Amino acid sequence: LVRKVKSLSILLPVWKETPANVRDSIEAMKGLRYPNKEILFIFEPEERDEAKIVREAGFKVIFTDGEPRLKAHALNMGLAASKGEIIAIYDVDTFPEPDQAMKAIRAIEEGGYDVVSGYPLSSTETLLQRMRTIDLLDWCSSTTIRSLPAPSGYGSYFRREVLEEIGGWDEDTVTEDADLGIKLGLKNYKFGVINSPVYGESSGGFKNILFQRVRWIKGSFQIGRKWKSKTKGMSYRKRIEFYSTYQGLYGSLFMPVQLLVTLYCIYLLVIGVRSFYLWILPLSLLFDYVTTVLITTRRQLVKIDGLSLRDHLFYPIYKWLFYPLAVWMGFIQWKRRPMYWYRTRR
Amino acid sequence: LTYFVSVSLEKVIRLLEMPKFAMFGEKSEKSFDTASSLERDTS
Repeated sequence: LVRKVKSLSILLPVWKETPANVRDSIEAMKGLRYPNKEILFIFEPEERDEAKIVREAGFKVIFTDGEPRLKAHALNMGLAASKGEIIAIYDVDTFPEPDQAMKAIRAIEEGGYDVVSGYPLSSTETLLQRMRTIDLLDWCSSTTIRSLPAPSGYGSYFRREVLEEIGGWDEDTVTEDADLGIKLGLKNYKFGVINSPVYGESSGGFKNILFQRVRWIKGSFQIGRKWKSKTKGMSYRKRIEFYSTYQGLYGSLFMPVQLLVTLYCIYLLVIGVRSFYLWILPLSLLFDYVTTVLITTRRQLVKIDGLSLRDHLFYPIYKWLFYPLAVWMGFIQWKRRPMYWYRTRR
Repeated sequence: LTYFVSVSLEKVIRLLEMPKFAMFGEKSEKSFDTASSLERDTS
């Protein structure tokens, strides 16, 4: 009977993690229920002590050859060493609910999906953590399906043949998940989100959140440049999303100027200056505010403990202040240190 | 300008698509939660 169930390989890349974090991840993986699974922890060559913890817990360990030192490379080595018909990826600091593998594979088998992901949850104690939680939910397709998804370490499951056909993860970007999403989008694979949370631990510190976002934006610049001439096979829907998320990111460099000019227009209107043109920027900002709130207050989002309507109403303002800073830092880092990866701490 | 237009357009499309969107298992919560039936089959 076990043969009826698709075999599952879970890939878990580890890099510069503390022993305590590795132990937490082992416990989470022990709790994940699925009858026919193998779990592969993938370490960089020098991380022998952390690997020993995993081995002692009875899980499989493989080591990368060390170059390039990228998550994409570790995942590719894990894929080559795995046997499962379904491949799942998690990060050491992402914790699935116990039934997640069952739900994901049911979605693939019964829903006809090629790739599915859980939806991300993180701490909601401080305002910054709540903003990051909404940001993650928005980014990871939990509010609406992104036509170009980013199947990340927040619990993504793939049919093995899909990963093999697109050649695994490309090793020329610091956002291998979004890059993979473009490859999936070009081949029109079916992506879905399952109704199952993945808890991502985060220190919630400003530096952590900012530098993680900076890396994502740097990767988005890389993706925009890499794929811009290869989008002709995409539908208009995907091309619009590609342009607004990746290729057109240069436009968001002007966001600080746009905000300042908008505030100046509002000031002029308040003091009584009358001109049609003065309304354009304030109205576009209002449009952005309303649409962002509508998108991020989707029914399943507001059910999340610790997130209130007030947080959703504040989120666009957080985005307007936080993103310009991250976009500029990401742009500068892309030019100076394109493959640098800031290690998020928790 | 093209960037701002494409961002706005993309948002409108996402809003229009929203009613169609559901996470897998969201609408049939009861049967979906019996994912463990898969486990029973194999035990």
